[in-house]
Amino acid sequence: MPVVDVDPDELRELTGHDEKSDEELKSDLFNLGLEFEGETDDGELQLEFAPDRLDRLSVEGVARSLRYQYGDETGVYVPDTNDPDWTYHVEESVPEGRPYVTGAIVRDVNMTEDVLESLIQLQEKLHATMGRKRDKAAIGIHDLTMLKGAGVADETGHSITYRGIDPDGDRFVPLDADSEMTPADVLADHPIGDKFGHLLDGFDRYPAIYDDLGLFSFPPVINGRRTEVEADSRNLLIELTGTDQWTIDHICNIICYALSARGGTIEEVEIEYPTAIGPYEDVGGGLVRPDFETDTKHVTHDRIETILGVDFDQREVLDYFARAGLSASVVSGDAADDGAIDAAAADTADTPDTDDDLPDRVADADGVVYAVEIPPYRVDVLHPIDLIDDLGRAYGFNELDPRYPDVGTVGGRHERTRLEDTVRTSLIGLGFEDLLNFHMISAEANYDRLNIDPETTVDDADHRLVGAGDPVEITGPYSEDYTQLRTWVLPSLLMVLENNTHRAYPQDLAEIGLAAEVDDSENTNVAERRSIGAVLARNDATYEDAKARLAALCDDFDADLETPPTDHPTFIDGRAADVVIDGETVGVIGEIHPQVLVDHDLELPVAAFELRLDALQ
Amino acid sequence: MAGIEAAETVDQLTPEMLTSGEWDDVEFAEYNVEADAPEIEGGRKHILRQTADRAKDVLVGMGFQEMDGPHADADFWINDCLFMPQDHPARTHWDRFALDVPPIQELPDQLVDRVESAHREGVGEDGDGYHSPWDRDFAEAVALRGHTTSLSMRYLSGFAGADIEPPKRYFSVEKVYRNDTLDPTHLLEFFQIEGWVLAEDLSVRDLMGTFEEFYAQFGITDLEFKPHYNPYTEPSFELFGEHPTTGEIVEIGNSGLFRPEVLEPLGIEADVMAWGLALERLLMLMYGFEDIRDVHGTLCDLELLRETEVLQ
Repeated sequence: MPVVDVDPDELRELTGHDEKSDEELKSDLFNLGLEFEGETDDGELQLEFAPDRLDRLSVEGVARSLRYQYGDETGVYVPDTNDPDWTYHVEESVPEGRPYVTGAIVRDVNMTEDVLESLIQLQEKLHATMGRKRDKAAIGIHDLTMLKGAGVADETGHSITYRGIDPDGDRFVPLDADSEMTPADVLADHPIGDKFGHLLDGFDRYPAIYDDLGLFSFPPVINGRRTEVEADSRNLLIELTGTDQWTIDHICNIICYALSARGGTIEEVEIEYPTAIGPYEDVGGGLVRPDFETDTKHVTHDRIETILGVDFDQREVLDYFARAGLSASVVSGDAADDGAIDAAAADTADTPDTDDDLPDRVADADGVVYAVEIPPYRVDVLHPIDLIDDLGRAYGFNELDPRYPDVGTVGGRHERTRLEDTVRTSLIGLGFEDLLNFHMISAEANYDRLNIDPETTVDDADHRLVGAGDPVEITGPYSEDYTQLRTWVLPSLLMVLENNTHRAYPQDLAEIGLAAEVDDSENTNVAERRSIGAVLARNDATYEDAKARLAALCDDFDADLETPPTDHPTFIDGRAADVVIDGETVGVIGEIHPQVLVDHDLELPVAAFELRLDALQ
Repeated sequence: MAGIEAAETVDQLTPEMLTSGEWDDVEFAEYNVEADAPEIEGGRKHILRQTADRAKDVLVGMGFQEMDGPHADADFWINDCLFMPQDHPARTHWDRFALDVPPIQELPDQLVDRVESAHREGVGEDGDGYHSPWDRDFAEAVALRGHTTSLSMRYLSGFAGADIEPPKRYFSVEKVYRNDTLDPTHLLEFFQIEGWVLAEDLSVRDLMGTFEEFYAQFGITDLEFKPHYNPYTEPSFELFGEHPTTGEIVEIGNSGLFRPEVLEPLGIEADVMAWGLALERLLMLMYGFEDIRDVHGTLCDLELLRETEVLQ
């Protein structure tokens, strides 16, 4: 989950609540879902939160949410924007893998060291979350005064150009470097190139952004040093590139709102794509950004009451929405209910609330419907249910009285686990200590150390060695101890014996657990079964001890047991048998081979058996 | 032995003495009844299994039916049905155990189409989808399940063959797999308690009431519900409770009402509330264990398993 570092003094300043103690702030933040995790060396609060409200990835957004919670602000706020002066011109050469761009100009930011630090943090956190580690979106923020760009189409205005270039096609001085490098040099020699270079795997042209003076940004890897933002930069150019227009536009909105809270004035930019087809078909050939248009979703009064289990009047609903930073208005329903609508309409004059704008379904719906306006920095509202959640948070979920649902159902166990439990009870009655091991194992532990080869068959293809079989392997495992699912249980039990040679004997252990192998007759291509494994580790353990217990177990389940001799390299020659139940071979029993014992550092005999659980059904 | 008449004092009562009547003429040597006897272990159920069974008992008592299903499953059932976008960090190589087997052979095509549409377009007239790629090949890839909510999806879709007319309660206490770092509190495979209730008009209050009832059975009261975010539930809550012995406030579960983007593709018109909890966490709370590896897996300590008091 994301963690954001917030200076409590800045938070007090931005919320306008100097009187709040750190403890009060922490408690208010917890109610917002921001959990205090600890303090940084500089005394900043480290706040952890779930990755839905990405507009809270900096102190500015956290402060805005608190102001709504305190009731200092209500309803949707949209900053004013100035008309565009800059154009982001996109050339056809732009790499296919990163076709989209967006951005904004922000002027007169009250920049300080702290504001700059917060902006850098916001940028990093947005990269890590919505930006999918820069794969989906990469942000570049530049000092506007260092940029020089004449208009492209006519002589008025300014422009920058986004194009694709040869990896060695141009040179610039990247951040944290002293000399000119080509983009390919950056990937090869710059520490940041090492971290993000893989995002350009397979690109024959690299993304590059130019002004009249040359290359100044190499997304998604690094900016140029020339336009680096300093603590005295007041005018900023923001550019974002990525694989999805909506995603970069919304990240841009979050940054603009944060800078607006720092006194910045937002100025629109024009995006000029080379065509309106191909990747640009859905977005169009020309855009004006940032896009601060609000979204509106409709939610019924009835659904709010059902989900929260609370009766509200309309005025309360409108008030809680406003405190959640949303603007709601009643668009349909019984207007005479409690006279709250007039007040609401006055509060939310900006919201379209005439019936003409409504889809038919809303006008026809029974009961009251609210149109809820959603601000452009919200990236988490996909459905009206999300608005009900916001309302619940504003109301305070911990205010709700729990109640046990008045719904009658009949409980019961699945027959598979009932069988497993009954067999386990019998094994325990026979003196076995019940064990619980991992289903993942290494090939070495599963096969080699048990002296078997996965492909061994005993006499024909249908009579495979118990424990052999095609392993279900983990793709690219991190740990050499866990590379596949076990094909049988005995290897796990022998490892437990190996790790417990310092504990008292006898060690009579049993486990009923999952074993699996590749099987193309299964829908998932994996055959999963429960297998019973048992070991008797004691100074005088013999085949007879194991067979006596296996026979008692089979007897409990009225299963007819035979033990014809078999060859199995895990066991001593002449002391191993197939477990045949009701005529079918379902397992193996015998005395473990001394080689296997020695390999597991065991200094006493072990008798063992393994069979399929469903044989006892 | 001088001065003692051996015929009158015996160590052991024998069958012969009983049949001959000799027992009536002898005296039995006194034992030191306070001396230690040899230690024996005897069979016993694994303590984590005892905890699982206890959870199952409670849930069955509350009217829940048990689910069963595959550990190795298509990402479709594990993630796509849950409205987890395909570029979600939890679906990357870092968290997930992908298996080196061919893709699943059969998925219900109509359901796949509805799920894809939910991801791309959202559901309902005001619904929005994700701005993330969606690829059927990824949905068909087989992995070890990261949560048993894959079973809930199989049951709710009807694919598991169960009747899903409301009301219904279902649960499972089964293993899940996470590609995490193995440490004292994290295992690569652990048990998840999964439960859900399908009924008309469920509210957040019903969800809270159900959990209060469940956790009270384990001595955990004064639950706190912290609003949370999951891609598949809304509203969502992390559950916090007080440790019965240390008094510490600890996270004990994650819960919520399934989103319309989950339920509509499945064809469910009623509401479903659901929750998940790591069984090992419940065990550690109940016993105060510090290293879960001593209990679960091949590094387990037999002495610890033998000495731990049984669950009542």
